Amino acid sequence: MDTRSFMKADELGRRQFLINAARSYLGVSLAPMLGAGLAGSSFGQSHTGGAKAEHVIFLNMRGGMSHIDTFDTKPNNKDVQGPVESIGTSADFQISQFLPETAKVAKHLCVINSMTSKQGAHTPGQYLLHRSYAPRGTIVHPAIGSWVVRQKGRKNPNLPGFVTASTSPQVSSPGFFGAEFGAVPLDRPDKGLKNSTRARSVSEEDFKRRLAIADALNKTFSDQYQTPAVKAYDSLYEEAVKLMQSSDLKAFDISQEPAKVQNKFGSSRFGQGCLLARRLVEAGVRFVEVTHRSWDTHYDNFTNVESSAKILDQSYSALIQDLEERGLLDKTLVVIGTEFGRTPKIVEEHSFGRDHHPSCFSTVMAGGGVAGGQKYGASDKNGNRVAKDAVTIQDFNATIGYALGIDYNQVVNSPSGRPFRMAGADAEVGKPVTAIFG
Amino acid sequence: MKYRFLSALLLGGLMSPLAAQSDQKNFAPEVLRKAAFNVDKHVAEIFRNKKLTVPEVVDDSTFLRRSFLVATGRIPTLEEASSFLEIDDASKREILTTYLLKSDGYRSHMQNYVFDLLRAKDGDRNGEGAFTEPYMKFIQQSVADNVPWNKFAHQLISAKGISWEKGNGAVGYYIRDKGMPLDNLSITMQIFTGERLECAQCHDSPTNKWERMDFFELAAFTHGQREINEGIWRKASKAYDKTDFRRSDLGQIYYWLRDNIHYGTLGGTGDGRIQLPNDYQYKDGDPGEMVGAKTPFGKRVTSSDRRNSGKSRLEFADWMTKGNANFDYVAVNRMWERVMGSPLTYPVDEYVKPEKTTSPGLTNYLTRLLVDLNYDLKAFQNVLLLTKTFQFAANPKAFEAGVPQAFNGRQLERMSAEQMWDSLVTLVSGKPDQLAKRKFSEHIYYKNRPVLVGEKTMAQLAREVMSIKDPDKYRKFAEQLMEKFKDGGESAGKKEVMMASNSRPGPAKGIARASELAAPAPAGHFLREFGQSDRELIGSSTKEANVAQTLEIMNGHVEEMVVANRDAAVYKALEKGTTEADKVRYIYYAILSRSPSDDEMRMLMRDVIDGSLENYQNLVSALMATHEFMFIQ
Repeated sequence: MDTRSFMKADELGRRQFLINAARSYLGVSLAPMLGAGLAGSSFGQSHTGGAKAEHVIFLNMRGGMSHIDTFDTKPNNKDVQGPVESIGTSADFQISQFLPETAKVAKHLCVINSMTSKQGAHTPGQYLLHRSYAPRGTIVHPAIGSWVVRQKGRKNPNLPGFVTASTSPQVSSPGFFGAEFGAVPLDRPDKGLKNSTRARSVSEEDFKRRLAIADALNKTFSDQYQTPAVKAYDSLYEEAVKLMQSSDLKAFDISQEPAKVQNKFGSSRFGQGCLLARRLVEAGVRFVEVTHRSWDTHYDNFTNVESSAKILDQSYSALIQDLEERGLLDKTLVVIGTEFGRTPKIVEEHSFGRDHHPSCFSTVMAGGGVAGGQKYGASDKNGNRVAKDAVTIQDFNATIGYALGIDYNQVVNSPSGRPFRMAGADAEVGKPVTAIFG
Repeated sequence: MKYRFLSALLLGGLMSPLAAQSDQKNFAPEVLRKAAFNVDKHVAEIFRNKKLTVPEVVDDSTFLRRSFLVATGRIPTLEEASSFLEIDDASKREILTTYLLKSDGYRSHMQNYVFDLLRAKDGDRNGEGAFTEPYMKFIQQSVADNVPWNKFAHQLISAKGISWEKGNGAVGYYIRDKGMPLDNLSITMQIFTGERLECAQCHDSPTNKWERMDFFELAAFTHGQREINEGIWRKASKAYDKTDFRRSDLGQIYYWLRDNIHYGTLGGTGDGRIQLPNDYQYKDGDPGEMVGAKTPFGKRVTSSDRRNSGKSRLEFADWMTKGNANFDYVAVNRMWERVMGSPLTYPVDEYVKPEKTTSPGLTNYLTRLLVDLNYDLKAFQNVLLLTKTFQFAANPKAFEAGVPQAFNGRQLERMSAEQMWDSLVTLVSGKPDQLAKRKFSEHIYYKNRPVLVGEKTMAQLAREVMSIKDPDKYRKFAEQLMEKFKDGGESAGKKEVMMASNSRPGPAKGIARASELAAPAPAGHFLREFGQSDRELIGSSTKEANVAQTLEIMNGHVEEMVVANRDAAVYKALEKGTTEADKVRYIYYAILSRSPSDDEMRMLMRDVIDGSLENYQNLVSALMATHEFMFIQ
């Protein structure tokens, strides 16, 4: 039989088929998205207060940011300060000369100079920072971003709840929470979301046709196996198609920003990540993490901190300003975190380097209800030990939970029945620093 | 057709090139068949007692696809599918099972399993990960040789010496966790004995039976993991100025020696005693007190707290693998899960006494069988693959709570990341078991260049380095080595050097089985997107869905590697078929391992197929996006 001519005769039927089958995927009768099910946060919220924040932008200063050379300068103690000068800010405190643009937005910042941790190596330090627990060989604790999505739900069901840029997937994995609460990792912020556009080898009509065929062929199988796993893929195909067509996908594309804005954030990977974070938050993503590497300044600390700080300064100040101008700062908590600080002692033989220093260091919080222009806690005159109001990593993470109004103390059991919470283990459970909120 | 299929089997057409020297005897088919019958008898009894309906036995195509995925981790090729589906032979299922277990696909799939279990990762020869190469080779070869499971575990636990020594890669098991021996012990107990002691590392466990003292008495067995000739490197390198040394030619040789040779050695053979930690908080011991090794269950083995034992790792390995009910049950439970889809008892790595299992009779029979089969996991899986139980249809409701899952029909589950990838590879290459393998080399590579080829192997070099006790001699040795490395070594023939240069050690790249690619695959790779383990923890692979996967299927690798690739093996279907209907049928064979139903054929002929390549591509793409492709029935 000449199928081809037979098929031609039935061209109309084929077109109709496409139209009918495509309906289920391409917009007309979309089932509730996976995220919508998560969005309604029905968790008990035993802790009130905070709760102004709806989003978090977590800026991860990987490698251990030198507190003395950034946010906790010691202008009257040249022995520990070395050659770095302090400068005035728009608030009534000083910061490092390496952060002139940040100084201008200091009125929005709360600098915490009394951070303390017991993890003095990068991997366990980063692990603790992200998960409120020390690493164990037998479980992976969920990342804070995963906690937030789980406890708070997604805001925009068409977009993932948790996105990371330039961040190792190991650092921010969902642990025992599973992929549902995992981050969508973007290797490069300037490249957007992988595979989110149709391959060049496929025409739009063929793309639709394929979905229609798959949909038709799925029917028997889906009827037979109505399991959660199968349904999850049904939803995810819909979600993927919706994402591909969605105007929200634009949120991943920083090239859509005016050149002026792009320039303001800078062309560094970190700057692009900050701009991406702003776009994602604007579009309703709950938690975005952007990593800025190269703070591990054992050698030649002053040169290296200066170049890392330069990137931080431009991008971070642009982010704060931009969020503020768009009226997003109030509902977006922006945090600068790091695994530890660096020693007050300057190691001369390492071209004036500084080593790891977990016992005292700095972090910064802004937006999301945090009162700006203040310092919280203090280090001693050498920046060596905490002198006032110590804040542990667990406290820091509980504060993020508090800002969002989620129950950071709620226990969630791992599949093997072990109890865990966002604020960390019993012995060192975090308490939010409520004093910094306005 | 039948003839070709059978003769391929009889000649062992696709037998593993690695599996040349298996030290397992082959069990007679009657023995395996009889054991399978006995397993079915026990299972039938469970169904009778519980008054459950015995599930249907699956049709040929479901059996074909399930067997391929379970035994070899991939879907059948078009050739394999059509050979099997188109012959009519009462014994073809048994023949297929034999074929699969003989193929290199079995080795590949099992290797993924063991890699995951041991959290085995590839390292770079130019860094601290250099030791991993002999370790990965050891695992690969042990699986290829089908080394008895008890012997394999014993080799890991009692390992000692230089990893580069021929066949001694097992020391990588301890070196994998260098610096965290207590975690390593928890992991050993979990994977081989099904006891969870990680909580007891810090405190008496409120949720299970173990006390902190139990933990330290066990830890005493493996305590004392040191590098061979420890301290010599530090003493020798001390003589140089620190800051610039590392970048100097000589400094680079020193750090290369540290990472490539010293790091991969394991001295000592177990102290058999250990100090309680400074925060020890219970009345049965004092902080800092020395305690001797003691086994907490099974055969009692102890060791003195007064002197180092010198053989406690060996004693620990003996205790664990010889006549240990925990060891046997956990291995049985694992293999049952691997073949049947869910374990006898959950979780798979928790020991349960036979009388607490659904059928003590079955459990006892299976553990005895494992021992009788000499811990031959391939033969044991062969028995399970021959059972009727394996052939039961998947139960669409098996996920519902309260249903005894192991015996109520198979659960539907998504392919693992490796099964997905290997199935993609199958659709690209018609010969998925013959693709590039990971390579091992005994040659010395310095800065990615083979040196001293024909003069010295890594093992010989390591032995020399380990024999130097005097820092002065070490310094001289390092200086000479630097000069020799510069020359590249002259004693080798050109051909030999060329071969070493062209045959770089390490994982394969591109289109190869998952087991042969870097372990784990780099972040963002298809395998990771579909949930491959990062090999940090046991069982951290996942089959969970996320949107990156569906995007990947629609617009990523599936499109690029298979659908848009006109050389992909799946398109052989278009040459093999003469009519449009035939072509469609062969595409179905290649992707879903079955014929299209009448309804499907009618719909496709009416609405899709018009003879154009584009619409065959559309069909291929659509079939790969179906749930049926991704899930194992």
